[in-house]
Amino acid sequence: MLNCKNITQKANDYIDRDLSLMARLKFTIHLLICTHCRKYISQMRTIIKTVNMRHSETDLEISDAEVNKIVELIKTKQTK
Amino acid sequence: MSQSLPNDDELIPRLLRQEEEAYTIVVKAYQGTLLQVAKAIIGSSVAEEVVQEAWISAFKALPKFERRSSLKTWLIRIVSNNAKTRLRHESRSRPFSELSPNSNEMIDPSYFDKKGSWTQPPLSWDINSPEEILSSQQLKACLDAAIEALATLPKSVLTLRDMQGQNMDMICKVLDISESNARVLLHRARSQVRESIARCQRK
Repeated sequence: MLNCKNITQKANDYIDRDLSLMARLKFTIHLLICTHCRKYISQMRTIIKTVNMRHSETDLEISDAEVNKIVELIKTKQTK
Repeated sequence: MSQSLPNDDELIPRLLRQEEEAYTIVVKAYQGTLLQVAKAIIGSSVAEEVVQEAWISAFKALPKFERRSSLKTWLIRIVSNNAKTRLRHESRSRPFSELSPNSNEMIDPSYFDKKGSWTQPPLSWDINSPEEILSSQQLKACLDAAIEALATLPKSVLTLRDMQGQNMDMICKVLDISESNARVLLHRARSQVRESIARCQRK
């Protein structure tokens, strides 16, 4: 039987779908009866999505000026 | 502004011919990602320098690139190797293995009793969805701080996996760690970020 501590240890594998069928079943049953662990898993999922969304917000767009600077640098080093 | 990126088959020959437009396309496409990878390993201040050096050595080494992986993966690997080398030389570097990979603790064990039941169960969050969290200046700052505060290796895994969507196989190659180690590190990172957000919700 899985206890709550086990759940927190395996939460990642559960969320990323990396458990055997049996393990997944045990996990699901525990979540059905334990509101605390349900909350934990839900919060973990939220965090994962938030981190992912934060990435898309983070400026991956590099300014043209920066790109040109790097390209110039590369060209300088290439001509040797 | 966003044209679709030419594939490697088209790009690599152009890069080998040292075509300036190809350089520009590739740098524009990958600089952001490479910066993130470097920052995850070595922190913000020298990340730009490390990536610049990586670009230069990458294009020098391009003729020898055997294309067993994509160009992007190859670039990421060069950056991560450079960043790790740099990390070894920095006097203020933190050791890689700050946590035992065998440790199974994701959460402070005092949160559980001897039977493994919660003694301090997670509290409900007022601000509960990713969108709401990112709309809150305070929680967004909390999130950034939480990620920044992670130890080097967990931060790298989190960045590569949850931010950039790289697969585990590639992450293990880039960071030189086993898959089971990577999973532990990822879970630990996510756990710590969750903990930080939980604390900030209380403020």
